[in-house]
Amino acid sequence: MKIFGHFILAITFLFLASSLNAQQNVEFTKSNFPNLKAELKGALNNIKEGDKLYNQGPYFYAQALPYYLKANNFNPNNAVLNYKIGNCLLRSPQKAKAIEHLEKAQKLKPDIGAGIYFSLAQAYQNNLMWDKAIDLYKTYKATIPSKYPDEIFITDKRITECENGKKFVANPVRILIENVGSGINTIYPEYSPVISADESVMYFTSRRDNTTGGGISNIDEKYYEDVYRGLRDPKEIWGNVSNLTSVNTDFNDATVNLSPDGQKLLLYKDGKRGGDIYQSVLVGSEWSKPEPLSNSVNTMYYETHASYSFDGRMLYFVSNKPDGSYGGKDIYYCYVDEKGNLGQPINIGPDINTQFDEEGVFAHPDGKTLYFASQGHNSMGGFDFFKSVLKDGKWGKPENLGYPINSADDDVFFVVTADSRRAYFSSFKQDGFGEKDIYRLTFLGDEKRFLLNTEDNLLSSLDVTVKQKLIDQKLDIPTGELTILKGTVYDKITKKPLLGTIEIVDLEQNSIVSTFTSNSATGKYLVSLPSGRNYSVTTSADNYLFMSENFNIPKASGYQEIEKNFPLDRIDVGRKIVLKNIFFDFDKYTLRDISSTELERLVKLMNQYPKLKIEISGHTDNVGSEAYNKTLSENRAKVVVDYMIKNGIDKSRMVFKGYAFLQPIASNDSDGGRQLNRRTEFKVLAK
Amino acid sequence: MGENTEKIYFLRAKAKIATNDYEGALIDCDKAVDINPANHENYYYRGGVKVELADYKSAIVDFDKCISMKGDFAEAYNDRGSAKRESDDLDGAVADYRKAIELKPDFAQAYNNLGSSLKRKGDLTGAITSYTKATELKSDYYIAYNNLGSVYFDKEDYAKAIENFTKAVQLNGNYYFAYNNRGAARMKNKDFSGAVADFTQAVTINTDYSYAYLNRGIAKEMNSDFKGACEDWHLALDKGLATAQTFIDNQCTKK
Repeated sequence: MKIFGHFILAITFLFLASSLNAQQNVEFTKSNFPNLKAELKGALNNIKEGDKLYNQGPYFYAQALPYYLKANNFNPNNAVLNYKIGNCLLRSPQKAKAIEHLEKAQKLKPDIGAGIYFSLAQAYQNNLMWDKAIDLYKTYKATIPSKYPDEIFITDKRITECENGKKFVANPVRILIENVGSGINTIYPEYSPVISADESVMYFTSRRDNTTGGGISNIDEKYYEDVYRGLRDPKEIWGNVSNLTSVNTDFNDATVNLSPDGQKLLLYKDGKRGGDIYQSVLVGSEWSKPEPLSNSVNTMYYETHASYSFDGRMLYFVSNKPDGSYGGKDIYYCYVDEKGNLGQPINIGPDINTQFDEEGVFAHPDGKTLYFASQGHNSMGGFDFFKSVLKDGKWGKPENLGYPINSADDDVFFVVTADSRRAYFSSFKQDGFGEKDIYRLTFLGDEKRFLLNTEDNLLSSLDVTVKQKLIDQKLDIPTGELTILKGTVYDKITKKPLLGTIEIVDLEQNSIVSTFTSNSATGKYLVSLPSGRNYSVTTSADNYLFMSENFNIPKASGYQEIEKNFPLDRIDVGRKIVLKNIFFDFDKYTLRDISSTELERLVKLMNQYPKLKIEISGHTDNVGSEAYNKTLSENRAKVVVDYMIKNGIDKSRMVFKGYAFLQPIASNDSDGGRQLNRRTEFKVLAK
Repeated sequence: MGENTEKIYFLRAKAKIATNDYEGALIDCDKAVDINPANHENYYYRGGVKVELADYKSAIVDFDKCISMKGDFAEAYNDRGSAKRESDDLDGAVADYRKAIELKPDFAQAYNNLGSSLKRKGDLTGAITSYTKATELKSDYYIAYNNLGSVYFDKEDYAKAIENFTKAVQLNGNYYFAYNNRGAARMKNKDFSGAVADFTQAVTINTDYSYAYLNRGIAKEMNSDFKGACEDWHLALDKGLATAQTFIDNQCTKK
């Protein structure tokens, strides 16, 4: 069920008939202003213009407001006008001012109508005056005829929101909110920030005077939206903003989300068939022209938000399409295949979606946390931010992020950094740079404990005091459980950046988790690896030998960033690489199952380059005799070659050798060195 | 060698204790014990030196010997209690302090030490009774007032905590521990300016006092002065307090 048309009903309760209340309410009549005919006429004209807009519905209230305020300057004591101004302000950034006008309207004309109760209750709710709001909602509810059950339902919901709000405000979340500064924010609106996983780049939407084409929207008379990019310097100051000209058009272009690898930017654009999600891809240093996502996502309805999962294999999105919906906008997901094709959309289900709107979905790079906004669940009013954690394949009960992260107003777009310690969002605040600004929120965790000092005269024999021992204070702030792996792919000799393919494999599951590419201009890449898995990360590029690394990230690992560069060798005679993801049983030459991915990659390389001839060699550390190690290393090299033959590679293209410990690449004096020396290599003999 | 030689060693040991030369003092105490093993005081002092050297097990043996020779020696019970406390035998410590008090009812120091052991055992009411008795017996006992304030702090009775910390600084104007503690209690009592003044006074007396910098930062954070908080946590870190690094990492912009 979706609730619509509340305000139409509210307005029907308003008795618009004007009657002069000489003591309080002052009507706009000649008799009340006998000597101000011209001014009265001007005020009446302003009311007429305002009404034209006001009667078109809440979207036009902002435009009606200036007309009403002019009329109010002439006559501040008209109940109906104050009521309308209050309603307009309720939908403006200056919501707090609504109370003053609505209370005045009620005072000037107590019988103005039942609608005043709802509006004033809303104003109190917005200002966290919960008890007053509840009282007025109850008063309003008593006036609703029983033939309007939807109206009763929505009023009850408001009462519940206020009760939720009371609880959240009584137990506030400790956070620090900081304006990201004048490097990003201006007198124009800035909003919908999205952040790269390493928090170095921000894309955001702004409505500035340098918008592409310089056009102004006729809906709200503001410049059209454009997408901008900002960078964070080493001192964590945001700035260096540039217009993302390649994605912007003469009309609205707005940020939605950034893929975890930073290579795909999702955008929202108004379309002929409602709003749609578009995607731009970073090609080298340029963002491509945005293309709409396929019909799996975009429909004739409004698709307003989307987010890729950490591995890029799933896309979550928001749509108000009615098919399979639980009401209003819902969150859906679809699988993404290796070529980027989107599968069939699936509603994420009633654990997340409600009969009210859901919005602003954001899949955290930890692979298990979904942030979203909802008007349902235990919201304290409008949209609130929630998070749900995936456990055993099921989304957990959404948790309201609490006050003051959430307010009684709409809180819709919110992105959390990879380490889960900060979030970025937009808000209108009086001390900002103007209109909406972008803010950074830091989760402070529990209140810090003060350190007290005490001491004792322990010994009567000696005149010394002993300080009480102090246990060091730990700051318990939950962090994301993931590893950000980033670095550069480049030619080992020339250092030239390469467009490489980075394949992440879960070694225990023996399955490809995800495949990303490095940037062709910079060679840079960034991937998120959720904790609790053993990964192989392999990088390859055309005409280059692949390079693989192994990352075992225990389940209990918190957030960490690892920088790993991949200098690739060209396929030239004499070049060799270590096959780091080939594993044998201890002191044996039996291949372990988790080696198969690396071996398959080798088979693929041999098939890709049919003239390639290689040597597979085994190497050991210096524990044991040379003869023993030579046999072991040779047998290990042989089983790799046997695997290749079994998988269709002609045996004439391969030789195997065992070098025992005669070609060490590290010292055998340490465990770490010996581990490096125990290896399987492959060398190019001909190409 | 004889009584005079024993006394020379004994006095020299005390002189070394006065200069914190406990290793040297122990050598002299050993000599005194060797010369006159029948003097209970030699064991008593040697036990104290061993406590300072953190050799609690051996110290307790000395105090046992002393008490076996003089069963009504209240100070020896007190000091053995302290050796037990430092080796985490809180029950043993409490029993010894109580025995010391039984033998010497006006023993303020034993009441103070008993209070600290009870506090560590979680018996805050007992600790308050004990510290209060210590201050009654010795009205200028600022250490006991400070300790009493800290128990009230733990009980979240911040008004009484402030009252006792104030008494401590009135008795000793340079007692920066009590200024620091009162600052924390004042902040808990929503007196931000008073708290900051106390923390500032503590670091004015001892500019290397890292706790007060850290606490002033916490107070500033609670008062939404996040920049000021970070500045203070950096100062605390500069003074060697590792806890400050955690705070800085979480919420401070890089310097």
